[in-house]
Amino acid sequence: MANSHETAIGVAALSKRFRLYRNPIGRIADLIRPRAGRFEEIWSLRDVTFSVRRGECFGIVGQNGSGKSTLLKLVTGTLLPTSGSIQVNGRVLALLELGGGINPELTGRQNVIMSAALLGFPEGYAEAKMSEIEEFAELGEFFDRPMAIYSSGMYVRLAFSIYLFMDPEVFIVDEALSVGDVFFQQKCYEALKKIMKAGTTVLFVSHDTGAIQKLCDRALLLDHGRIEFIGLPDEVVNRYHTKLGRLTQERRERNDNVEPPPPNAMAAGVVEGNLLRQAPFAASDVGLSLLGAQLADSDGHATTVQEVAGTISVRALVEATRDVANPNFSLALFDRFGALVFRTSLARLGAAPPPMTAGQRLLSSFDLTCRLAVGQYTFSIGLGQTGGLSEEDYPHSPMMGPLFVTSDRSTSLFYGQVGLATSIASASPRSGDVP
Amino acid sequence: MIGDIFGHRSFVFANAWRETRTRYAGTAMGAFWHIVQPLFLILLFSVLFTGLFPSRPGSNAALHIMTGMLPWVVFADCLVRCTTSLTDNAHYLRKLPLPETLFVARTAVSAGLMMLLSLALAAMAAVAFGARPNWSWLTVPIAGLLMIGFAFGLGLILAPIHVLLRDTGQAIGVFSQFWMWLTPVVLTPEVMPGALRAAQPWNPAFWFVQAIREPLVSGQAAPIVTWIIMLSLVSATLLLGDRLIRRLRSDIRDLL
Repeated sequence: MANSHETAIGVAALSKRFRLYRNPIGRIADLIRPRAGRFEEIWSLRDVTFSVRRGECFGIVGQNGSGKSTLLKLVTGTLLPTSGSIQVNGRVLALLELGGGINPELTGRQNVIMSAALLGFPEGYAEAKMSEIEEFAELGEFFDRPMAIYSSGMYVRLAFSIYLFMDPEVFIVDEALSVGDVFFQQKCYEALKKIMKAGTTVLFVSHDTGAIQKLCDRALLLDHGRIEFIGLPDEVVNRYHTKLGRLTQERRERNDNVEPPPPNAMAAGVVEGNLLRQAPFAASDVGLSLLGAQLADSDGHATTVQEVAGTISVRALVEATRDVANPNFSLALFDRFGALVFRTSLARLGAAPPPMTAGQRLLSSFDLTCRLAVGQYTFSIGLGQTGGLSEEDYPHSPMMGPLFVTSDRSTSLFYGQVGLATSIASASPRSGDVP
Repeated sequence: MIGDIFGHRSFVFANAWRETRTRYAGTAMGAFWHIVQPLFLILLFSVLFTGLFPSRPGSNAALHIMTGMLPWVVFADCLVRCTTSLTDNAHYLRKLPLPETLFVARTAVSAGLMMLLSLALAAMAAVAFGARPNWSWLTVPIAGLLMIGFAFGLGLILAPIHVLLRDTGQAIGVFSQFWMWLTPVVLTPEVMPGALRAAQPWNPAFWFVQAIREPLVSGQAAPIVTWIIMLSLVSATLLLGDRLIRRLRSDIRDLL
């Protein structure tokens, strides 16, 4: 561990246990005369040790329930450890959930003053910073209106702006930031980088692994209250996604044993891992019905996990409920924000199926190369007819998936949302040739 | 605890003041609501005992009840709000590492302001009912603040218990009503059953009520023994409450 001037947060052998009592009387009884067996123990954190240097941005990644919030609350001091120690040098401000201590009856401006008093700043401090805060929050006339009428995005804007200008030495940023719109988020990241350059230590907790990779110097992966890995953000995020993918697959396999796929899909060949929850999905206007859908690897085995640049097959089993002259199925893929990543259809790819008669079934397979950023995706199948509605207006099945795109490589093939097919041509032009 | 509160004194006082001011934020009459209840009590008992049931000359039942009720209402309100102050401020305590006692203290300070206001109204009413102010009246606000100190001490003991067992706040609300009738607030000691009257020295609230009422009604300050008893009650509850909050701090934080 570095010397104490360099260390902003030092956490050693930290453990936190919660006791769950079936009855509050049991808790009181235990305080007076402890006896075993009245409560259930839950260890939220077990033996966590790490240190964060001054000016560093340190990310914390983990699934829900892995102990992230508990760790943050312990660092902030709102929870006390069961064992182990936490040392924080300097003032900590935490943007936990939505800004603590905001009174919705008061206006934004009054809340700024209130928060400053709450955080122990001398009188006049908030007033001096007011114009900067007002400008950063970009709330316009809402700044002087009661916060009860604010949208959740405006709430976060103000909370973030207040804390940003209270000169924290350790700033804890969590999921709250993701509530703001993209433009404000970008502004916040910009501001965070600036205060980090000025020496503020940032503890960053988010499901947005992209932001962790962009912003953090180092990160920690928590799993069931224990440290799984500490290292560079890219590697931590990769491990996180891999773990997430594996976990969900295990869970799905377990579920498959318990819950057999719908019989009609089973009969027709989409046997394993039907992802369509309420089968069939009938598009009665079109005369087609989706019986089931499946994700499979190149060997035809059902899976929901694929590595970056691997091939995944999306297979859809469709039945005609009447005679359909020119059937067409489309596939749409969405990212974790629900944004469309990609849409195509059989007809668009020049593979429109022949006319179908009532009761006929057709199994179509879209084979995709997953040149996509690591993460979770969902998909939907659209049913229509060529020459009818345009593809985006086809009746679409409910979202299915998720598909986990993972990477075990420490260096990615590409950065960003998609890996475009790229070929390289290099030459050494003379200076006069440069266009 | 003293250190905690002193270190955050600007927070405690600024917030108590702000709480007092903004308690009725959004209402048309605003801060006026603070004195509506005591004024209403004064009006009620004036009408009741001068118009409807005129009392025997010299007994001055209206003055007796007002000088008991006005401080008691503030005391009971303070006790209940101190008891629930930690859960009421859970949104702060979940997010900010402030000492728990601050929130109990803030409620008590705000109640202290109310107590002074109520006692001022009680003194004015006393004058209207023919009492003559003398130097002993100066001890009334001190006794009133000690009574709030006692509520603060009890609140420190009850607040952590309320976090563990949320029935506490309800129970205290009911009990404080009951307690009022066990104490010579409305009733006079003379009309109390003999056993209850004999038990009064063991009723802590009795001493505070006496110390506030006697100067206003008979122009006599409480004897030194009363002050010693009051101070002992305040310090004992404060010490006990402080120890209890320290002991239960981790559990309180886990449960909020």
